[in-house]
Amino acid sequence: MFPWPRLTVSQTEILWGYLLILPFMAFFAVFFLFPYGMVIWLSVVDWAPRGTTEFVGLQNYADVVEMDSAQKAMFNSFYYALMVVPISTALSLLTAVLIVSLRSSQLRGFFQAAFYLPGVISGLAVAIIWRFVFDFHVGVLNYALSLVNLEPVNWLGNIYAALPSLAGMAIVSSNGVAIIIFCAALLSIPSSLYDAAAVDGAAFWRKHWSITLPLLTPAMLYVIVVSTLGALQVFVPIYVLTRGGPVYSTITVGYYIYNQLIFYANAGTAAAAGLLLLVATVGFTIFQFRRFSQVVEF
Amino acid sequence: MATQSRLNRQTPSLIETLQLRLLPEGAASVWRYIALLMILVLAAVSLFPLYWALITSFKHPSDVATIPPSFVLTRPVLKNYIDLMTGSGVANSPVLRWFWNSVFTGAVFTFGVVLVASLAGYSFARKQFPLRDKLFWLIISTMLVPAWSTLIASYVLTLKLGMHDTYWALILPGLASPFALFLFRQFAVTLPDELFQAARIDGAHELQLWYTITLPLSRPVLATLAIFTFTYHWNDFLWPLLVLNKPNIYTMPVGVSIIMFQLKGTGPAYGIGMSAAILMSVLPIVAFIMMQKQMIQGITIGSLKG
Repeated sequence: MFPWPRLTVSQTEILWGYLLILPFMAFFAVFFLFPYGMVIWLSVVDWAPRGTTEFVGLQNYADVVEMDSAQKAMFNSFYYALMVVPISTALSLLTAVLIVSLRSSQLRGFFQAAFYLPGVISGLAVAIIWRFVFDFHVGVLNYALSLVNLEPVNWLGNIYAALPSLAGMAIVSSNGVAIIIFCAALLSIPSSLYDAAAVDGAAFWRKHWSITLPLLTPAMLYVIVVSTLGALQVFVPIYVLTRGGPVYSTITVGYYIYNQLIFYANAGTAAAAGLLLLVATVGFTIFQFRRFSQVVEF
Repeated sequence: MATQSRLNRQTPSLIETLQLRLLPEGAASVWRYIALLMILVLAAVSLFPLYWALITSFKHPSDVATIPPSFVLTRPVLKNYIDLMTGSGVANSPVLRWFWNSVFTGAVFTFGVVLVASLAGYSFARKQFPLRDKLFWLIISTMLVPAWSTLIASYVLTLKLGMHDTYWALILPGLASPFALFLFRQFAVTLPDELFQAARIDGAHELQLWYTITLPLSRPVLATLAIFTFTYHWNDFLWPLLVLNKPNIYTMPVGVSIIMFQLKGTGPAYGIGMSAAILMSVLPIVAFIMMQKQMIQGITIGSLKG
């Protein structure tokens, strides 16, 4: 799509084009592109802040692959994403359908805002609040259980409950963006399509299966890809609520990388783990696109 | 943007037809009540933690952790906020300083991001130069890469540049924001060409076209962008946690997280924790309420036009 054939475009136009993007590109090159090269270099050396940095080949990758905590971290990240993404996508879609079906536009706006509101505050604030909610002795969750005569649950201290608890927190508190996107997508479906289906005598479920769902696919793909990316990188709740414990039951790739970098000063292993996460994520994203492009062909 | 304007302009009758299509026919009125009930329950669940933090933060420390918990505020006091601000119970916690660090670097960062992105966005939208589209998509595609993969390199790079424990580490690394560029470029593309041609005939040069035509016309986008950027910076936790190690340079979130781990005893600690959470949330919430429409537009631009 370059303007090569139309040579009426003057040289100054080109020059100005480059000049105007120069500040952006300079920062982008230094702080976005350069780190890509640097992380590959870091992953094959034994990096030392002071002293000599030695080339170690693929040793860092071997370390990561063999390390118990790293394996657990990779497993936990995907397990967490598999809990969070499907449930919160479905919940967001349901909420969006409910919002769109409200009669008054003020109410629609109000509920969109109400669901988006918890999403504008920081993950740290959310995590601090939930630490109180999850508290074994004085948390409201265990109080609610006691009202129906159930035993209190050690939400964050039990190796089986901890990761699902964190997933539950994410499901409840991070749907705002998805809901707004689904609302917009639902409202952009031309109602003439439904009229046509009605003429053809399509039943209620049939109509939604063949009209609503396919037309929501792009929005759904966007929501799923973005929330998967977010879920695979989860860090703040882990840091605030569990620190990866108990016994690695909530360690995620993000927390593993943080640990390697800050506590063990192992930039090499951290870099290798980061690149492995990149490969896994890109693979997963391509897989999602493939799945969806099959579904879209209706 | 198109979606939002459609949302607003949609005539009631059109929306109603769509609504009737979304719900099963015949039972529409019953369904409406069920829908309203469900949505109220969902909204209550989603907003409860925020409400709970808000009332807890105003409780007296001795009322914070009671069994059974009290869900209404009987005697509001500012004790938790005062304890937080004065760093009571935790040594070396200059909370006001952290607040200032966050606000100051946030303001500089936001100005820088908007300036750099609007220059580049204008160019990507309205100039013709070789490699333009390839560069643009290269920049955009970095948004799909997990931040963790390059974070370590950014950490080492800023360490080597001597930026750790300085404001620079909070301002420079994120200055070229792909999201900001994308948002601004998508807007600048829609501006009518005639304006620019007319100004060119009058002898305006490129910087004038950017300053006197593009910027004034894109005020709503600039405001949205500024709010998004400031909120992002204000909420950011991981990066400052990595690069800041001296209490005096902490941002609000880093300082608060340190406080949370040093507080002993769950009762009073939760009171201070909730007041910290609320204090960190006030700015983003006020910004959201002021800029609701534009922010919601900003979200849908990324998903439906991209």
